[in-house]
Formats: sequence, structure tokens, C-alpha cells
Amino acid sequence: MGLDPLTSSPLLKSSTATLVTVCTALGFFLGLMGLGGEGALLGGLGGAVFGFALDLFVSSRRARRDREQGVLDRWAAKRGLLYNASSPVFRDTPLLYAGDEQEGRYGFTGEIFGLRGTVYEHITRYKEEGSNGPGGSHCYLVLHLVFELPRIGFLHIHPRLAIVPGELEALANRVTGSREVNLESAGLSERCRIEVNESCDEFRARRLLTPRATAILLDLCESEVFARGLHIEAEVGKLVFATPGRIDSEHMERVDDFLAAVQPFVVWLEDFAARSTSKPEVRNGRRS
Amino acid sequence: MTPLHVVLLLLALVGLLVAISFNRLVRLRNKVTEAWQDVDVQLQRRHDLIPRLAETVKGYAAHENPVFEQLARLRSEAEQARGAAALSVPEAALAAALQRAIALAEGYPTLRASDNFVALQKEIRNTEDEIAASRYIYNDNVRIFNTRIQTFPVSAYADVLGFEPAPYFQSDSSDRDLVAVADR
Repeated sequence: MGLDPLTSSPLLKSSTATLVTVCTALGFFLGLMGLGGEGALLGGLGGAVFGFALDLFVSSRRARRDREQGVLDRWAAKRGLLYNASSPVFRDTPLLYAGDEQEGRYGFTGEIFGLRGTVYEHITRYKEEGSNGPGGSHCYLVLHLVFELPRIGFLHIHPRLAIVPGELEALANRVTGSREVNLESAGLSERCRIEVNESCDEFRARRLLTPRATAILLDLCESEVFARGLHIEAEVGKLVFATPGRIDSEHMERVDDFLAAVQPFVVWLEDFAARSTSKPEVRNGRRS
Repeated sequence: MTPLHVVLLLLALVGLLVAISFNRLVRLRNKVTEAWQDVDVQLQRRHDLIPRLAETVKGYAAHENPVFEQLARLRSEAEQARGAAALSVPEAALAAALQRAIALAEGYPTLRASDNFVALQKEIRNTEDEIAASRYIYNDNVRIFNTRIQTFPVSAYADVLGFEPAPYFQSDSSDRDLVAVADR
């Protein structure tokens, strides 16, 4: 939402009488300068009408903004979160630092699923190469949590690009230091690409991505909330869920649906972290 | 370009599309097989837990032996069945009998307080969850594969190329089937 120039200007924040008086005086003066004596009267009248119209417009904008603020504050309070119109913006995972500029809006911060986190609208802007054109932008609904995934450097889950052949993807993996995990689910493989860091062996990856975790991910992919794409990025100290979309104060149930959809996987990861840190791995008779 | 060239080009295009389709079907069939291996592993875990449960309960409730003997018989029947279609009924009966055995064991306070029994219960619960998830993934793979080979144009040549519909692994059978198997 940010600062609305139309409603934050000191003149426009003043009372109706002041605004109309100023506009009338301005109209009177302009009329006098342009058309002489009769013009002054016409100018003053025009100024008064303009002043009233402007006040009406600004008041309705301000009322709408206050209403929206109220809805968002109540939504945040109900969930024990704090609302910040100009949200903090995170740039600490590949999805979030992509593009030339990043902006955050509608930020809700607090404890989410027992972890410190923020749900917000993340905007990524791209500039056109070699021109001063407007470029493009992508908008994501993002949940950013503070979370440590033990024994796995990173876990990235993104929509699979059908147009990119497997050989090119394998080549890209060598560059990024990642490797793809192939799970048994055909539905999940068709929709998503799952990558872990190259040094994470199959045993560790499978301990995380058991059939239960796979079933949870399959449900996530097929849910309406993630119909436009499922992005999950777990790196050192953070866990990010994202899907293309915006936060709309009139449809906050979408954010509720988003949080409800990701909760099973967050709970799974928390359980995995608790199990991993409570006992060391034992493989081939050796602890690691 | 002569008509012959056009015909040859069209034939080559059709051949290429069939080859791509064939590879996709092979990949899907392999996914079905992999998913079944997962189900099999989880079912084996369940089978391995049954003797441990019987051993744990034996010391506290010796007169409940007939229940665990029945459990052992159902386990043996399930281990002899092969394939998703054949395993549905015996595994469903075994799962039901296992839940009954655990419910029976929970009626003994001293057993319920035993660390071994609590740990075993948790392991059985985790195994049942993993079986449910593996079955869900397997059946989803079967649905995708069967749909692919039964829809046109793949249905026109899937049979010729040796692709047959895969069986689903049902989660439960009718009560009549379960009772009939359990009471034998």
C-alpha cells in the first residue's frame, strides 16, 4: 500500500473548509489574472466547485484506505501478527533476489506455525535490456520463515518448465551445484522439479522426502492455492513458500488458504529437524 | 517436393511421435513399478513389526495368544500374495487385525505403561501412515498411466507395444471379505 501521495499531502489532509477556501481563492486569482473583473467571479466559483470535488475524492480515498487498514489490522490481530504496510522485503533465496529490483508490501510478521516469520506480497521488477522501457514485474505471495533444515544444504522445489529438455536441466545443475531428486510420484515429477545440494546424498534426501512427505507435496501441487505454481526454498536459516499472486484486503481468505495449505509441510519439516537433531544418523554401522 | 517425399516425411513424423510417446509410457510404467516397490517396503515393515508386537504383549497377556496366532496366520497369507490386485484383501484384513490386537493390548494398564510397547505403537503408527502415503502415490501413478494408455491416440497402439493397465491397490475391502478372511 505504502504512502498515498493524494492523501498524505498536508494540504489535502486539511479540513473541507480550508481546501474549498484555498481552491476558491486560487480560482478567483487566476480568473482575475486571465479575464479581469468578471473572470474573477467565474474563477472563484470554478475554484469552489473544484475544491468540493477534490475534497470528496480525497475523503473517499482516505476512507477506503482506513477501511483497508482496519481489515488488515483486524486480520493480523486475530492471528497474533503485526501488520506493516511497507513490508520488509527478503532477498535471501534465489526466487527472492531474482530480478533487478524487489519490493515488499502488506507484511504480516510474528509467530507462524511456531516459527518466526513474515507473510507478504513480494514484487520483482525486471528492466528491459538496452532500453529505458518500463520492463516487467512479477508478484508473489510469500511466506518467509526462520528455520534450519539440518544435514541438507538446501532444498528447492519449483514448477517444472516443460519446454526445457532434461539435458539442459542437468547442465544447469552442474553450474548451480545442485542435483535433482527423482521421487516415485509421476504426478509430482510432471509438475515440480526438486533439487538438493550436490553433496547431499540419496540416503539423506530420502530420509527427508519419504512417501508421506511426497504425498504432502503432491497435495500442495494439486491444491487450488498453488494452481499457478509451487515454489519452496529451504536454505540455511530460512524456509520460503511462494506462489504467483497478490494480497487483496477484500480477499484475505486467500492468505488463510495459503497458510493452511503449507502448514502440513512445515510441520513435516519441523518433525524431520527434531528427529535429525535428536539422534545421529547411523549408516553402515557408522554414526555421522 | 514429390508426393513420395511428403509421404515419407509424414511417416517419419508419425514414427517420431510414436517413439516419443513410447518413451513416455516406459517412464510412466517405471514410475508405477518404483511406487509399488515403495509400497512393498512399507508392507514388509508392517510384517516385521507383528512378531515384535506379539513378543512384547506375550509377557503381559498370555491368554490373548489366539489373537496373535490369528495375526500371524494373516501375516503369512499376506506374505504369500504377490502384486497389488492379490494383496489388497489380505493386507486390508491384516491391517484391521493389527488394529484390533493393539486395541486389545491397550486394555492392559501395565502393558500400556511399558516403554517398549509405547515405542512399538509409535512405530506401527508411523508405518501405517507411510503405507497410506505410498498407496496414495502408487494409485496416483496407476491412474496417470492407465489414463494415458486408454485415451486416444495412444490407445490405438498401447496394446500392440505391450502396455497393459496396472491394477490399483485398494485400501480396504467390503466388511464381508474382511470377516471371511479373518474368520478362516
